[in-house]
Amino acid sequence: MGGRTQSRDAEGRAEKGRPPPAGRADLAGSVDALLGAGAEVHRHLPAVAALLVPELGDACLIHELKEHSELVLAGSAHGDAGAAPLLARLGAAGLRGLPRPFVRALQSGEEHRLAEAGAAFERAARGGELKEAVRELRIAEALLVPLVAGRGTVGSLLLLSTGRPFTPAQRDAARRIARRLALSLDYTRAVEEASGGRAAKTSFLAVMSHELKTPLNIILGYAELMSRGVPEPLAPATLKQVDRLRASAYHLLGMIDEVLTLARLEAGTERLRPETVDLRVIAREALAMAEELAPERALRLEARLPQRSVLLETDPVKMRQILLELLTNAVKFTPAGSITLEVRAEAEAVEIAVRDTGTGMAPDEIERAVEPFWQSDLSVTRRIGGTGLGLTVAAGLTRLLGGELTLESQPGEGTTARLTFTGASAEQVEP
Amino acid sequence: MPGKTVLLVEDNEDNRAIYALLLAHNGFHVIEADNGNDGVRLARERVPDVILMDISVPVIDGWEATRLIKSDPATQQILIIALTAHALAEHRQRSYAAGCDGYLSKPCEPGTVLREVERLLGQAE
Repeated sequence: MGGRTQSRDAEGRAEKGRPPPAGRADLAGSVDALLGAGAEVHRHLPAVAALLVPELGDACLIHELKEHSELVLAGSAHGDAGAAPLLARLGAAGLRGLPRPFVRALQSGEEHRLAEAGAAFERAARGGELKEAVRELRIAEALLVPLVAGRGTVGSLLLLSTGRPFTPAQRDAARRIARRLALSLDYTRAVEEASGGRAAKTSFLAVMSHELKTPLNIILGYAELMSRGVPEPLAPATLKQVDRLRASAYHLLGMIDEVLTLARLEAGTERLRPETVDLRVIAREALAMAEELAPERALRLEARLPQRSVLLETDPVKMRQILLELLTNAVKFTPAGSITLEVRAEAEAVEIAVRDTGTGMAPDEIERAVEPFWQSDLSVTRRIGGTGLGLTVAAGLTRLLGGELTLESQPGEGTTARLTFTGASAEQVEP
Repeated sequence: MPGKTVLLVEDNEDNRAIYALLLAHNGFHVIEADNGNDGVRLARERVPDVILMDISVPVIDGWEATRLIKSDPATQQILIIALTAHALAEHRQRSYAAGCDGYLSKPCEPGTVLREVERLLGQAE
């Protein structure tokens, strides 16, 4: 610890253009400006500590009080740069480095001042290295102000003096700043807890959806047996009812899968299993599945595919799911006419378009179409069915695969859903 | 395949009933176990032609039951189809590593189960 000189450090600060010590009222304002309105208060605590030295003390430690009474160092500053590592060592010791009266102060939430604090800190520091560091810090007086806000004590502000006692004005300012810090930390925690709550909700949704599928699959299993005439054939009218029952159960299963996918997308737990696939094969599979959706309607489903195969590194299951969502949506909103699925490969991009001649959407409806639980006319939801999640799921999965989904539409003119995968290493090879 | 015996090892009563009804309707003789231990015991006592083995059954899981059946000279010729709840490549690999002859992921339509049983028996003949 050789080159520890107060004067050089002071000069160093002046060179960095630090403003001259402000009045204490301004200090609170500067702390306010540093903390701002953002939720990331942790990042600013070292700067706040630096701001309080030397106006409020010769050294400053700011700690956060975490769960299980863990006191975690959030910021430290010493007027003497050479002593900063010693201070950091004391700060890192957390609760273990604090004299007992300060530990009690944290528990009660009441501020506490210790004269002849050096000896108290040395007693608290049982270990050799920490004791040594504390001794070198030459603490004369110490002031601990617990950071108390709505949800109790969230941290502590510890000011150390190596010479003069704290003045009433300094203690006053410390209290005000502690209050400001407490509110910021409290707010940050509230935000963190809220986002934790969202994650919990998403995972609950995923678990619930899985549980819903088990009985539904049993319903589908028995219904399939009845359709097959097991154990005995049904009367034709009853058979028709069972087939409607099965169709509805499949519909419900599809909706649960949509909710499940959306929950995974929101939680960020949807995983990719990429392989090299021919997009034409996936397009044909999706189209075949979509044809089963609309056997009774006057609808033409067509594919426009290149002569040569379009190879793309992607997740085939998710790509098929996206195309099926888009085709299902097109079938839903096209009472009669045609739906075309087109795949085009260019030098640096692949484009897949699903065009329908259906009811179409107004510009503001297009914007909202990818939001959950929204269909352009709520009566449509009742008439046609569906969760209204299809396009949201398709858009989310497309982003996951590195592509983009855009919708073009006019009311009465039909809709085109376009998937673009740019920079995709698509290559066309002879079939 | 009239006269062939299928052992269902599955702890969900409804799933067991659904598969049993369809298999019996198609001429199979069906016996049932609701845990892995009983599955192995019935395999030894009755020596079925095919076992439909749910992997997540209690007492001993389907993979362990499969290993026991396949390591016993008296039962190793029995064809075993694994049923797993997740369509994961890892589950498929573990199933084949344990000695399964076929693999289906749940939920599995009854018709698919019937086809797989008939396909495996057809291959074996």
